[in-house]
Amino acid sequence: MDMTHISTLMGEAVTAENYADIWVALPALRAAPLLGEARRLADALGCYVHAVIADKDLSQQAIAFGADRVHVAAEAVSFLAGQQPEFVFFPVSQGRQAAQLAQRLHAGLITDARNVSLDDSTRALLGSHPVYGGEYLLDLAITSLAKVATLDPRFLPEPFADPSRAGEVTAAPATDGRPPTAARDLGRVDYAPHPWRPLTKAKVIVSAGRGVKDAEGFALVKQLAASLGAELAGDQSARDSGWVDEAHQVGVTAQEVAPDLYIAIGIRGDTMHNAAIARARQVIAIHSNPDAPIFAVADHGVVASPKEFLPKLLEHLA
Amino acid sequence: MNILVILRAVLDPNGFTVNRRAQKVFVNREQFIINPSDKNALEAALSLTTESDTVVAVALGDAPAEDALRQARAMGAGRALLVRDAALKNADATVVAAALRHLVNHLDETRLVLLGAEVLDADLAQVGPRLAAVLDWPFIEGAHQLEIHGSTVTAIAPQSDGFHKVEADLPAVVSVAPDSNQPRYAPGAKIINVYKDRHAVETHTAAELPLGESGLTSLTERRGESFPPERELGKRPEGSPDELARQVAEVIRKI
Repeated sequence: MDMTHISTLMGEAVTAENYADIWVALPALRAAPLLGEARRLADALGCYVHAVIADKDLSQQAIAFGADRVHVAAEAVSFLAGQQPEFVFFPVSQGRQAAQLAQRLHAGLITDARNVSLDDSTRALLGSHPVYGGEYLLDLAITSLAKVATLDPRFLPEPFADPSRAGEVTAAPATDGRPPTAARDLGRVDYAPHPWRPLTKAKVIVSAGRGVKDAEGFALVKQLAASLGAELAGDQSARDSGWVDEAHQVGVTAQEVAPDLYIAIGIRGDTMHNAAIARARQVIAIHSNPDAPIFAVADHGVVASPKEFLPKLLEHLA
Repeated sequence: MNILVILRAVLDPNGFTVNRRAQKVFVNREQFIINPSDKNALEAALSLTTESDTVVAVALGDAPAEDALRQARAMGAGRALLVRDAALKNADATVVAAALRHLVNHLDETRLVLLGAEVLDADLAQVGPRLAAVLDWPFIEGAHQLEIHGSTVTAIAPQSDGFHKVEADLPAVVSVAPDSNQPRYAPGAKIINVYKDRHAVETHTAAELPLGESGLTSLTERRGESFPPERELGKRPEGSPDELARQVAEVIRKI
C-alpha cells in the first residue's frame, strides 16, 4: 500500500467503513445475472446487496434474485453518487453511466469484466478485461475505496430465484443538484452505417455457396445477413452463379477473412475456402451433406437443407 | 477554436500472436499503430474544421505516442501535443482523464474533444465519459456523421433500439464510431517533413500541466494476463429442424 492511499484513509472523513455493500444497477430484467453474481460476493463478504431500479414493477423479482434492499430511482447515476457504495455493478450496455459514476466517486472501473472476484486481504475487486477483440484478457485489480465494474449478463450463470426471500423496497429521495450536462436525443433516424470496412475486416460474415440452390435461396441468405447486420459473401460457386463479385468471394485466391462469426450456408468447404476462414473466431456451417468438409472446420454444424432451415432460423432470430 | 483529438498508440495486432495453450503472448515484432478508431476521430476532426479552427492531436506516452502524433501532423493536424512523463507509465483511465482535463484548460478555446469509441488494448473505453464528467461537458458515444451547427454538435449515435440523432451544446466530448469514415492517407512528402521538423510535436511533462501526486495515482493496477480456453472441436447439435434453428439462434445471439 502506498503512502497516498494511507493518508487518504487516515486524514480525511473518507474512511473505508463508510463505503459498504454491493450495489447493482438493474435497468431491465435482462441484467438479473448481475444480482446473482452480487449475491455470491456478498455472501462471501457478509454484506448487503442493493438493487437500483427505475421500474417499480421489477422490485419483487430483484428481491427474489438476491437483493436485500431495492431502491427505485429514475437516475441511477445521480442516486448512487449520493450514496457510499463499496462495489457497484452495471450491465455492460451502461458503460457510459458506469464511467460517469466512477469519476464522481473517484473509483476505479473495469469495463466488461469477466471472472469477478475479491482479493481477500485488501478487498480489491479483481476482474479480467478482454483486449484486442478478445484475443486475451488483462487481469486488473481496483484498489480505490469505491469500485465499479460493468458485467456482461450473457457470460454469467443464470441467477437462482427464491420467491420467498424478503427484502425492503424504498423510493430513492429526489437528488438535489442538477444532473450532469447531457446530450439531447432528437429521436430515431433511419440510418445504415456505410460499409467502409472491406470484407477482410468485417466482424460478422454470412456466406453462401451452391447449396442454397437458387436465387430464392440466396434471397434468404441476404435476409439473414441484413438481420444480423453482417457482410454478405460467397465462395467460388456463389461467384460462378453471379451472386457475389470478387471483392466478396471468400477464398485463398480472393479474400481471406477473420471475422468474429462466420456463417457458411450451403458451402461444401473446399480447401481454398476453408483455409481462407482459418482465422475466423466462430464458424457456423449449414449444409445438407453430413460428410461435407466444411463440418471439419465448423464450431457448430447443422445438417439441413439451407432453404428449409433458414426461414426457421430467421423466425427464431426475430 | 481548437478541436482536440486524443490518439492512442497500440501494439499492432499483426506483430504478435496469442498462444492459448502456452498461455502466452508472443511478440514477434514490437510495432505500434494509431488505435484504428482514433484515426476515424482524427478524420472526423479534419473534415469538420473551418478556417478558424485548429485540429490539435494529443497523446500520452513515449516514442510510440510521438510517432502517432507525427503521423497525425502528416495527415493534416495543425498542432500536436505530447505528454511524456515516466510517472505516466502505469496511468489508468482516471489519470489520463485528469491529464487531459489539464490540457484542455491549458489550451483554452477548445470546443470539441474527439476520440475513438473502441480501443484495442487496455483503455477500457472510459477515457471519454470520464473526461466529459470531470469537465462537466456533454458526451456522445459512438458517433457517426458529426456536424457542427453554430454552438451545437449533432451526430447519429447508436441507442438500444437503433440509431438516434443526438445533439449537444459545445463544448462537448464525442467518441467516434470505428469505420464511420475513411481516414485519409498522409502524403509521403509530408511524412518526411514532419519527421525532419524537430518542433512538429510539442512535449510537456506531467508537472507542467500541472498534474500533482494525487492526479497521478492510478485506481486500478494490472496483475497479468489470462487466456480464453483453447478452441475445441466443433459441435454438431441434433434434433428437429425447429430445435436446431433455436440452438443456432442462441449461438448467434451470444456473440
